[in-house]
Amino acid sequence: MKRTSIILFLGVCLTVAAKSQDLMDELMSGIEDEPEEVTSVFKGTRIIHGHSVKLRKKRALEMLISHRFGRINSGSYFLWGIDDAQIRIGFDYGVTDNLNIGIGRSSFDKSFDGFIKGSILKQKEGSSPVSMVALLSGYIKTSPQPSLNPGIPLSDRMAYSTGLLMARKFNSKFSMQVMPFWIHKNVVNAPNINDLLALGTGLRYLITPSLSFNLEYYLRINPPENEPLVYENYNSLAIGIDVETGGHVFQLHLSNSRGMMERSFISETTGDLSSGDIHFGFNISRTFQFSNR
Amino acid sequence: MVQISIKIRLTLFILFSATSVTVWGQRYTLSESEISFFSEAPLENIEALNTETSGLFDPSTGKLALAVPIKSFNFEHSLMQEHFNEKYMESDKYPRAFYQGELQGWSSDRVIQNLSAKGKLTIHGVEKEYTVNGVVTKKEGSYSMKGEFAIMVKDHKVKIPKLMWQNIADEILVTVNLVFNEEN
Repeated sequence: MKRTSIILFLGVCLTVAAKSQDLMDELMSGIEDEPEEVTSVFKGTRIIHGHSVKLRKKRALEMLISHRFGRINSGSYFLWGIDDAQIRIGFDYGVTDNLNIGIGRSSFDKSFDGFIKGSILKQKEGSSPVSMVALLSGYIKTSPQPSLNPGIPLSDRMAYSTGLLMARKFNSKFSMQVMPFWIHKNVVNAPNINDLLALGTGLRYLITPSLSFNLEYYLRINPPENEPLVYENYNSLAIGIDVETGGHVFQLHLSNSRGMMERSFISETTGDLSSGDIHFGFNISRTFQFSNR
Repeated sequence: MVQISIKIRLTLFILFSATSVTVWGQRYTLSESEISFFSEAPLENIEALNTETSGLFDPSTGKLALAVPIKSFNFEHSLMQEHFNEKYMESDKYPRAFYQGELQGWSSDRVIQNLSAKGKLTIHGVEKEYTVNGVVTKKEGSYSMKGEFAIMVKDHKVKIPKLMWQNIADEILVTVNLVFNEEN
């Protein structure tokens, strides 16, 4: 009989427990959390000069206006570089959430560029530790002027870059990206080379929800030897901040690079950091959403 | 003796199983839901719709519980949705909003009743009492509920950066449309 009373007691306890459990606990016991894709690895589609793993969503159009000024060490007569700006105006468009295309025009070498950016993998707990994006770009220099230089075929003006962007958001504040690149130029003058490999690194640290610190560095793996006054190229380094205000992202930075295409900042960075050749620059991004309905 | 105790145990087991079923009461589950919010702002109106809410309703007591996944609020402007989750609602930290409430003056027999729901709403991890006026309509095997109320963003400690002030109003109008179906 002792056993029976224990069972009776347990039974009463269980009933009481069931009674005190409220509707919310009951509701939550039926809900399972599924891991989600990690979003907002970077604030912008560019870390500073180069692309981040961020893609524009379907039917979103981003207008990106970028300026790179002259060297700060050029002195007061040039207003520390402000008189002399290189400009790129570009558009990124979300064909789908996983595929973006873009075009741009740079005043540097009067170039046009176009790219396809596709998401391969998305960071997700339990399935992938990183996000991966492929980036294919093409560039055409229209300087020197084609009508005055009919002897230069179009193919001689072209260059390509292939990159793989791999990023991980370690926590809500810190994200890091590693990106190997291959730059191919159809025609170069010695000692420049046709094919350059580089390994880029980018990172961001959120200071406040609307402000982040960014850094970007490209290490050239097979750089040609520098020849003073003939050919001088350096690895590209940039540090900057992102300020986000609703539909705009303002990116302000300092860098030894002036180019706004992979071809230029990876393989044609002329600023020597050891002599203080630093440029101020900014990107302003505005995103427009076309109806999703 | 052994045989008897097994019998007693079995009887008790059945008895308590039956008791706990009655204790659980009637459960209606949320089968259709539209929770939307709207805020008027000088530059762009902010509007989002969520159809992924989970919920339970107990017609014997008039109590209801809702869990609203924040990331399931769909905005037309994808960037706005991203900012909503990352910057304001901190959805990684607070993935759901919760509502626990009781219908005031509820009767499970009336076909249409105008009444108010009193309860606690937790948004962005901050709980606040709300009284929501609405209409409940009874149909065969289901109850539908409609209501509307306003939320002040600062009541739930949702911080809006100064640079954003032109984009987001302090007061958000929430519209709720729920259909609870009898569990099978």
